Amino acid sequence: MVIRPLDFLEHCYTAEDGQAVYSRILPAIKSGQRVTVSFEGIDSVPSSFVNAAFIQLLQEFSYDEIKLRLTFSNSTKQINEMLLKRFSFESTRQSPS
Amino acid sequence: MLNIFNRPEMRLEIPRTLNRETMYPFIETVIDCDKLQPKCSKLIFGFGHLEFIEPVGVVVLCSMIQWLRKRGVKISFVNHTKLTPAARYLDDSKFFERYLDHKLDSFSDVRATTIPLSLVQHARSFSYIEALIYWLSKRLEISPAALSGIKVCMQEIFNNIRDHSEQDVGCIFVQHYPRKDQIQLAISDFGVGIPANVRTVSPNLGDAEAILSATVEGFTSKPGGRNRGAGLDILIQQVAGTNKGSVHIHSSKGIVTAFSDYTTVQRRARSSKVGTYPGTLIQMNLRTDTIDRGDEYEEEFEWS
Repeated sequence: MVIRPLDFLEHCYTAEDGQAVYSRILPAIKSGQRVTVSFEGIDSVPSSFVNAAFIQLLQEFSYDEIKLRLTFSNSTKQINEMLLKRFSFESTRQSPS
Repeated sequence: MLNIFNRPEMRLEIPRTLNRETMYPFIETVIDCDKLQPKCSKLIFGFGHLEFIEPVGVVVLCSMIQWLRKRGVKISFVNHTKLTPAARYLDDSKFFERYLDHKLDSFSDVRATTIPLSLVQHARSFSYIEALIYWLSKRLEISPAALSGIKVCMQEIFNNIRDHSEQDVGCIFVQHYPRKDQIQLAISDFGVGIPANVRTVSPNLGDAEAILSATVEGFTSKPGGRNRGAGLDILIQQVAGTNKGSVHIHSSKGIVTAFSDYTTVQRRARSSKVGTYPGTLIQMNLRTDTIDRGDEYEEEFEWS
């Protein structure tokens, strides 16, 4: 399943924007689908958006499960770094070794 | 009726140079920063001594006026009509047009190296930032996508203003210094300030330590909610780490400066010796010679 935020959002900027993406990802992943989020038309995303759209998933799934069920396309260096940095930090915080 | 003003009228001379150092005694003269109250009901700003004002000074002046007006203080200006270089700079930044409803000089115009003084509500901030990035891309002759790191810094700041300052408006001024390969960007709110927020979860921290804590990834004054304490760390990593520029954060008596020594990002905290800044002021000094054009290309995502 491909989710393209700009199909239903004006921008990927706020926590509210992120929540709209999250509300579409969560049921898809829960139903066993693999989800691809396409950042077509977007060159960067701030942490408020990433936290709400994707990091919240750590409350429902393990980091390993998320890696199996979620991926991203049409991305940029800034977006990739933001996603990986946020996931790395929050997954460690939730499951300290 | 309780009179919260100490005096009915005060005159405040803007200092010869208005910047991040001289702003403290200037602010302290008219704002009781302990009680967060104005000291008078009518304030006359004197421009006669002003010789040089930095971009951050323009933002400080604007923020002060907004804060005072919101609290019922009547503002007027004196000795501002002589077209000194400083007055012309303010006129070209649209400062007098904002507060007098007219320019000092009908021929004054926005300088090509600046984005004029703006009060930006969060609802308008996305399009403001897009326009800022587009302007910068034209100035630097690079694609807007290459400035994505700077765009995200601006977005982090505006989201922080909305989420933490209890206000919704940021005052912002931007100037490009092509000979110095630098962009100076100053943005302020006169909200509750970072230390007040931090002390809701860490009550024993002083102002400087509070700001320092707020810049650490994962620290948030609103745990359990949607805020995860990433914004200021991202700002510092992008500006000081990637760009090799510098960030100065002023809030209450605390000052944090972040810069790179080319191996690591350094964060230095100190306290203002004179006065406080009621709200939060951020100055970013961005280098234009270190911008990574690699950000403009698509990159495949791979889980690490």
